[in-house]
Amino acid sequence: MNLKQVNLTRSGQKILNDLNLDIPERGVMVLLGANGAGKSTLLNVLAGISDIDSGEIILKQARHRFLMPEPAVFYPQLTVEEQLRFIATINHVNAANDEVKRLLDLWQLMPVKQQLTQHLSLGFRQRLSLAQLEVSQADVLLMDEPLNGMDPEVLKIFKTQVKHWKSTKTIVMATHIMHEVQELADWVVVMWQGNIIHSAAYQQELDFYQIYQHAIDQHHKTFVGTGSKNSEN
Amino acid sequence: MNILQKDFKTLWRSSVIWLVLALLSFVLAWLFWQMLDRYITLQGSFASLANPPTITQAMWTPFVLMLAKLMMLMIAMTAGTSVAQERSQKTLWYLLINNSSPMHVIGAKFKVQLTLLLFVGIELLLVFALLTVGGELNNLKVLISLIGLCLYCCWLMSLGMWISSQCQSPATAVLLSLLVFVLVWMLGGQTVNQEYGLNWLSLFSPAHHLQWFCEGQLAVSSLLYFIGGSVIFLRFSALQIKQLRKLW
Repeated sequence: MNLKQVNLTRSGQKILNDLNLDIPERGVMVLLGANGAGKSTLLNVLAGISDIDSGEIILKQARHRFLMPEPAVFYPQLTVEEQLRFIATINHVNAANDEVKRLLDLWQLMPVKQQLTQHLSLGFRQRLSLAQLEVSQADVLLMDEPLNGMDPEVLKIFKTQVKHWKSTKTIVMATHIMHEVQELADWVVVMWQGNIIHSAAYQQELDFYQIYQHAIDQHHKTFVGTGSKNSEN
Repeated sequence: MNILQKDFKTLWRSSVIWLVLALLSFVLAWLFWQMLDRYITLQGSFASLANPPTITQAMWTPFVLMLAKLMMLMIAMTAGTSVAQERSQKTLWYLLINNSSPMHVIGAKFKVQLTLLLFVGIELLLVFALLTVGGELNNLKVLISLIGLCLYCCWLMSLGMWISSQCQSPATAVLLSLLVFVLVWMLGGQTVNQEYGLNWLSLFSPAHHLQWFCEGQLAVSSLLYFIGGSVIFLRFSALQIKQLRKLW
């Protein structure tokens, strides 16, 4: 998946500014950035939900995408099992019933499978959101802050599943909780005010915080440098 | 479970829908009883008339028009919430992901709205059964008015869905739909014609075309009005959903 000179403006404000990005076919790409950097918007664009103003999104082949938004939202009148069945059907999953049962079991949703989603606690909402991601059988999994409020037990299952998925799928994950996803990452992208200021394979030598800080510092130096030169002229 | 089944469950699991249906059934039963009582009382004086009104004219047609008016409330509620609810609970992305076709989404939602016609059918069947006990109905007129009422409901559903796609709050969408429905109904009111002569605006009113159906006239212009109008409103709804991608 390639993004070429992607621009997106909402209410007169530039949210994505001339983005160029190559997303590999397999592995985990982590998006780092402060609030308002454009991470969630980029995920919506990649999911095919938001229309861009200009630029191009090139899919090398017909790739199926699914999103885990933040906060997780479900149909309040459906039960947990029905919600998963709905996702399986709209994504044309074969043997949907068996798959739904397997995922209810895997994500420990069996005790609440007949409960309406509107009555779920935060922990179960997160499990359901992750189960949805898996039941979609999408080639590209997009996650917006997947670790928010995650308990250690679910975190363990989540990490195991991501390690399993990353050999066959593209995973793009936007997060603030940097230390927990370091061990999963293959690529790291740093965003700042709608711009990509760093994009590289992750070498595990530096931690995410250092990469993020370094990218921000470099960008500020360039930005301030250009700004001062312009003001001198 | 596809979009259609999901919307079906969402619609019919709502307790408010059942409450409104029960209320409408009660009101219809009450009004029908009143009409019947009046008709029986006046039957003696009908005997002196050279051309007395038939049971179809005196009972069936007014009942169909009354049902049409009451359906405005029901359709404003169901069609009005159809898209606005998805927007307010932020679940619309499920239907838009992977650049899915908005027309497919609207089509599924419209089919769910059509289940309301079952209520219309049951009410009319009951009234038909009751009236046939006491007299002879003109079956052709009954059939044409039934077709007219179904087309009228489809037209309102499409318009309601279009209004719904413009609103973020389901409550606003319901109120706005009801207001628009009442206004377009009033456009075709007989008093408007009486006061201002032939009012061409009335041709834009569903009430006017439904009246023709109820009189047993299967006019091509009315068929075009209802079918064409429904298609146009559904297209507009799909276009509005497409536009929403630019606001996401």
